[in-house]
Amino acid sequence: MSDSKTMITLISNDNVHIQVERTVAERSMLIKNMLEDLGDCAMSSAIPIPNVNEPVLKKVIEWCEHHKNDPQTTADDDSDSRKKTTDIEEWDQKFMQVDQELLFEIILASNYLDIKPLLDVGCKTVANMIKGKSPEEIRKTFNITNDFTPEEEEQIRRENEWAEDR
Amino acid sequence: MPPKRRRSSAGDLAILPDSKRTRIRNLNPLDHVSDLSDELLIRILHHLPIQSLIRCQRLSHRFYTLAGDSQIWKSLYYHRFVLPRALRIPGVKSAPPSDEALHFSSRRSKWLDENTLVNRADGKKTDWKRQYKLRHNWSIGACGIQEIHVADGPSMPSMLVKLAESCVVTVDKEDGLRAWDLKERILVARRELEEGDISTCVAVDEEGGGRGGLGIAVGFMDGSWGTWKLDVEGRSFIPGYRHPPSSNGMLSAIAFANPYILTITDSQLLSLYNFQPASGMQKEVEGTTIEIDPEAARNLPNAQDSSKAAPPPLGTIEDTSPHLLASLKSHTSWPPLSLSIRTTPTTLIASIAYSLPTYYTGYTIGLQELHLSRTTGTMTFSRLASALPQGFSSLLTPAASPSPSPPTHPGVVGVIGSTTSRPTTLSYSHPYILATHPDNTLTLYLCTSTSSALHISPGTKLWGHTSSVSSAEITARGKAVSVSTRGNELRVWELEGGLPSTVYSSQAPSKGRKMVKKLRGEIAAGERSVKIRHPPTTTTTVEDGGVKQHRQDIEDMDIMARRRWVGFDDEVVIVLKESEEGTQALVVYDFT
Repeated sequence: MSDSKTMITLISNDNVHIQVERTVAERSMLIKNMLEDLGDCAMSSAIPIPNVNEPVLKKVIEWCEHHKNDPQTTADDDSDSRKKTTDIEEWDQKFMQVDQELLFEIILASNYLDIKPLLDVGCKTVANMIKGKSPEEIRKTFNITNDFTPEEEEQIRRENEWAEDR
Repeated sequence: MPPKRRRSSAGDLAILPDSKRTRIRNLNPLDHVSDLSDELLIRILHHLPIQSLIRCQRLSHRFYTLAGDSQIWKSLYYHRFVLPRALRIPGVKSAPPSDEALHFSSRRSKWLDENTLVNRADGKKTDWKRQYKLRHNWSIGACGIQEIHVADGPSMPSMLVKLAESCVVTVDKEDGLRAWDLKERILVARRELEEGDISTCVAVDEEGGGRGGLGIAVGFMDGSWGTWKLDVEGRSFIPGYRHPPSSNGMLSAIAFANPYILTITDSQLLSLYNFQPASGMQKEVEGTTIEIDPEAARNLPNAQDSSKAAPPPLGTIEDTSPHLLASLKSHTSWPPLSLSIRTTPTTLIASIAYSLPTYYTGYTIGLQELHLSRTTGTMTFSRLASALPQGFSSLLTPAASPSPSPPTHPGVVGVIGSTTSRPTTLSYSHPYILATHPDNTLTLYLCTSTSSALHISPGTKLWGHTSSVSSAEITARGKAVSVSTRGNELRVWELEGGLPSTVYSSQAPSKGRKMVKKLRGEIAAGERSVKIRHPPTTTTTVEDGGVKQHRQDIEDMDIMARRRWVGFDDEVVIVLKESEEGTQALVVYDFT
């Protein structure tokens, strides 16, 4: 394993070169696995990240910087060890206070780069935006188009009545 | 349901792959959430509590499908209904909390007996949302109530009822054998009994339906019994084998696990039959039967003869005549009793749970197990256990040399036992025995049956009913339903637990029990259909024979006369009720 201070270069899809510490970049399992596969020759060349633009990539790197010393999760992908709660630590909450467009871009990027903890934070943030809202409020929040007829919607409401009051 | 998605985490790496996410048509440029792939949306929905989840189903067609995703509901189901049970397994709680097996994982979690849902034998996909709803309804006692009218007048002796798969089988003298569809609440099939046949007990094939329909065995007053197959699609009962009458008297209980039939007469003569042709086995069998009854022995060659002379078999095992595997007479068992057959790949275990008078203190229950080898048909051993606090003794442990059954168990008589009144009914589903009592209580016993010992725990009283408990049924996983004669009360018990473990933390951890919900008429919708009127108290539908030996106990007889029957499966509870006018109806409590 080479020195943790090694810098590598990432290229966003709008062709911006970003220098980042190897340990930081390795929060992304995608990059980590690739570096391990390719060995040292990858260090010298820049790595293109074709699906992520500069502002989003920078934001993701910011998160990775802050969390670079977190213990690595050896995640079973399906496991539910992530707690059922939607508790998010304070720094991450602040980090996620962005407009919706960027929020979803971060989720997509973290999914693509395989940064599971960041993906979880993103998903929890969205879940918190849904919690406790009526369907109409949720639609408004996310600008979701209602493609149900009123009858269809009523039918679904009745079908799910059993779970409404507990 | 969308197919199970799997993230590619460490696959094609040398060249960074293009984003694989599927772009769904997105008409609204401000709708960013719909840009996410199904997989990511489900990930988000995983974090939601149920109330929010079901609201998401109302957002749009796409969200309707996603929020109903079986993987989400499977996880919810696991956390609410399986994990609390897993945590009660001794030793699990003390394991480190990071024990991976307890975290939900579709591959690794302990699903306990819920495994049948996870790895279904029929190859169908489990609808986890539906399962969740079902369990939820059970836990809060929410159900729809419906009635099926079955008879205009009281039957003598009482109508016999059994629940099997999605239909109910009833037998009585007037109307014969009938099967009712529960969903449609209609009569599916009907077959008159022969003239003079008075049915006294009924059993359905515990091995399930399968090829050719569901097996049903009925025992009669004259000691004969017969089998039928219920062909639901063909809407008919197909007669199978009919055993000739016997001088041993009325059959008081019967159990059926294809190809085995277990019967017991009023005078406690137990017989075990096998439908599977086994040549050259008879001699061995005779050698091992304990106190062969002359009549039964006489029937033996008969049965063999008739199998040769019988018309060509219709292709099912039951069309051939059975042979008697074992027969024994018990002098200590008293009704009510409950027969059951369990099979393992090598052994057949026929058990009889019975009530046992303890002379000084009332009654307790006993259990006798006969172990037979399935390959040779010989009895390997027989043993007894009773639920006396003083202990138990397993009398016949030597496996190879079966000795005469000791009905006069020396330890049984005269021991100061529990002060239990005589049970009105017994329901045995290994490992539980549930007895109902006229004093408004139920008693639960736990049997431990290993290769070396048979043991029944001291009984545990269950309180809750406000009148005499008339019938109860328990399943192997500890769910029980009981009905009482007065008060129209139906109670659902989770005797193993199955509610969050915190509820029981201060109680006995191993046998946390809680009455889940009392169902009264008012709770359920449709007041009209739930008025369960008291059965007439003066009617004389005394069960002949079954009660005769206990004339001294008038109180008990009265209870027997008003007996109602209850049975249930995963989705419904069925109660046979008798109104004051004597009409009989099946009340269906539907939890779906």
